[in-house]
Amino acid sequence: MFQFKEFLATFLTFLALATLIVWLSVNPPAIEQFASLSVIGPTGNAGSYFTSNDSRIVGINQTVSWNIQVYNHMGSSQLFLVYVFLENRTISGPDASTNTSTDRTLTPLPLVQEYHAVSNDETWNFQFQWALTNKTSSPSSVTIHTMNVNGRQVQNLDVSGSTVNPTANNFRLVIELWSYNIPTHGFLFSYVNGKSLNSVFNQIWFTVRP
Amino acid sequence: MLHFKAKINVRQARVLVIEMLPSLRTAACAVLIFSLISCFPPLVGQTLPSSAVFPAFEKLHAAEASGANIKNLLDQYNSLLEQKASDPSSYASISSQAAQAQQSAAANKNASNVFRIILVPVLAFFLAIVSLLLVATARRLRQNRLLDMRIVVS
Repeated sequence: MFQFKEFLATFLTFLALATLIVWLSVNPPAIEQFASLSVIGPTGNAGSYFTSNDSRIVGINQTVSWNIQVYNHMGSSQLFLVYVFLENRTISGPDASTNTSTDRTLTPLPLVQEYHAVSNDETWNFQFQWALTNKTSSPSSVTIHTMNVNGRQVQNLDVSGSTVNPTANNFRLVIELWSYNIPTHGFLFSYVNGKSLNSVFNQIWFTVRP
Repeated sequence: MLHFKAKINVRQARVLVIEMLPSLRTAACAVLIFSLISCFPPLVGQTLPSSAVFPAFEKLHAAEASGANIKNLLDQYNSLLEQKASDPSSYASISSQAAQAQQSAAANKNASNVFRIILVPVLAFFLAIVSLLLVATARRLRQNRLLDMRIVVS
C-alpha cells in the first residue's frame, strides 16, 4: 500500500511536530516579573488624596481614607509586607537607585505593618484610614505625637516638620512594599526579578500647620 | 508572640523573686535573672502573629511550584494572618495540607509526564498511518477514475 521509507518520513515529521507542541505547552514563554503598589484616594482615583480641590493641609481629627493596592505579577504566590511610615523632610526615605528603604533608625515605628499572601496575577486591597489626633507647635515647627490609624491609636510618633516655608509640605506618608524571599528566609525591599532587586514604594506629602 | 512570651516570663520571674526572698544569695540570682529577662524588651509594633508564618508560606510556595492548586490554602493562610492567630498549630495544619497537596501534585506530574512520553510517539504513529492511508486512497480513486474513462474515437 505504501513504502516503509514513506511511512518513516511521515512518522518522523509528526513526531517532531507533536514533540514541539508538547514542549511549548510544558514550557510557556517567561513572563515579565513585577509587583506594583498603588494608593487610591477617596474619589477612587490615584489622585485627590485629601479633598476634591487637592489641598494637602491636614487638620487635627480630619480623617483621610485611602485604599492601598498591591498587584502580584511575579509568576507565583508571594507573601507581601506593607509598611507605612510617617516621615518629615529630613528623615531619609526609600531610594530606588540604591534599593534602600526608609532609615529605620530615624523613623518612629511603622503606622501600618500588614502581611498578606497574594496569588499570581491578583491584587490585594486594604483600607488605610488615618487622622492626626495630637500635635504641638513651636514658632518654627509642628510635631505630630499621635495618630489614629484604621481605628487604632498610634502613640509616641514625635515627628517634627518645619513650618518656616508655609507653602512647602512638611510631612509625608511613605508606603513601602516588601516581599518574602524564600532563599534568604527573610523580607526584601521590594522584590527580586531574576537577579536584580527592585524597589516599590509610594510617598504622599501633606502639610500640617501650627 | 514574643510580647506575650516576655509578659509571661516577667510574671514568672516576679513569682521566682518572691519565693526566693528568704535566701539572700538565691534572691540575688533571681534579681539577675529578672534583669536579664527585662533586657529583652517586647517588639513594640510588630504585628507578626507567629513564627510559624514563614515556614507555612514556604510550604505553600513549594506546593504551588509542584503544580498544586493552593488557592483555598492561601485563603485560609490569609484569614489566619488577618486574625493574627498566634497558635503555631494553625499554621502547621496549613503546612501539612500544603505538603500533601505537593505530594499529590508531584505524583500527578509524574503520571502526566509518563502519559506524554507514551502519547507523543503513539499519536505520531497513528497520524502517519492515517495520513498515508488517505494519500493511498486518494491515489487509488484517481487511478480508478482514470481507468473508468471511456475512449471516444470519432
